Amino acid sequence: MSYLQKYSLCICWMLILWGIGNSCSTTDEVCREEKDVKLKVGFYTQNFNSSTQKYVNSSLSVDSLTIVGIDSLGQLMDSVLYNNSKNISSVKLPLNKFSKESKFRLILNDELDTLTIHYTNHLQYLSFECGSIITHTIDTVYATSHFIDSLTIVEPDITTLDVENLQIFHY
Amino acid sequence: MLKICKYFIISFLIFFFGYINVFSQNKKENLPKIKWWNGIMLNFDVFSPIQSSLSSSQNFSAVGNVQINLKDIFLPVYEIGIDGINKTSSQEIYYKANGIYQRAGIDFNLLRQKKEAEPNNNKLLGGIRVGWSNFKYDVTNITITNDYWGGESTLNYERQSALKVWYEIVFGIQVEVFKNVYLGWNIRSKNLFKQNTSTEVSPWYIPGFGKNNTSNVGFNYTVGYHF
Repeated sequence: MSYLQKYSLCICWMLILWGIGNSCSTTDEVCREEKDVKLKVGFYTQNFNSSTQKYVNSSLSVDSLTIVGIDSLGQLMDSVLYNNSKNISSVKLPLNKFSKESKFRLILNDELDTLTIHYTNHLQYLSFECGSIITHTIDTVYATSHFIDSLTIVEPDITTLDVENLQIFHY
Repeated sequence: MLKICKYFIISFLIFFFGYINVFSQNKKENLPKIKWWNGIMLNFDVFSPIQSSLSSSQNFSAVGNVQINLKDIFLPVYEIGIDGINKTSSQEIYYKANGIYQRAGIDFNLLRQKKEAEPNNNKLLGGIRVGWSNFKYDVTNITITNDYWGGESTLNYERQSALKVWYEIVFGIQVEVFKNVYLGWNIRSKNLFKQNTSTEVSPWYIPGFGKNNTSNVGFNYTVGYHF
């Protein structure tokens, strides 16, 4: 076999390899990262433990829960986030990405409260496939006190991570 | 899927090494004396222009090199090329990049002349390169939607610039088909050096390197002339 014949055989192999390499390297540019940013709220109650003489937090299951957003004009949003949901101990609420404040109306076991959150927004680029997301950092939280007795911010950074941000207490 | 690719490439290289043994039987008697300065070769890759023309997203891409032949064993090389891309993601985001890239390195001729055959100028090359590209890129039409509260915003990051540096391990052949005219091909493993990403928006595709992964595989088919 002459050099050229051997050489052309090599070329055939290279073309096959190229074909494989091409199909191996194409991706479909689909986003595979988590993009959902929501405020995670847990419901808790407090009991006094007489043996240790300390207050102990425990998770509270709310019998019936309805949550609706309140827009900047004070009107209720058309779409309901939680509609008479039963036995809920934690919720995930979307914050307004183009505002520094979000308000929610909560009906917890037939008692009505308004929850207000003030926060700063951060723009974060993820990738070419996924684009950008907006994360938040809580500045202040306050609420009316019909069902809600107190609030605790446990993690002020609201990101795509499944970490509890806010605790609502009902004694 | 990536594992299958790696197996294919490794098994091909093993095949190829066995095949190449046919080329070189190492008998060291009566080899002709080879000069240190053995000329310069100019090579041009024909694979990149063809592949980029067939690709829907890649802009016209071309690369050529200058290679110095020292004693037919050491072949320092300098390469320069252009590359670019215009790509749309599944979320309708646009990525555009264009730039020049350069590579410098050295190849080693792994082929030894057969005693009985007439001396030839064919080469089996293995080598290393350092590559770099200073380029500009745009990432545009990024939309952010306020799913529950309503509203939408569009972001554009334009005229971002980056400098990326990588190293390559190259393997290939060069065969003299006519007097001083060579055809060849090479396959390369490209690997990025670790860098601090100071820009907020990282580049998705790097001219001359490919997608912004830790490593990529490249292929060239070269036509060259030896002076």
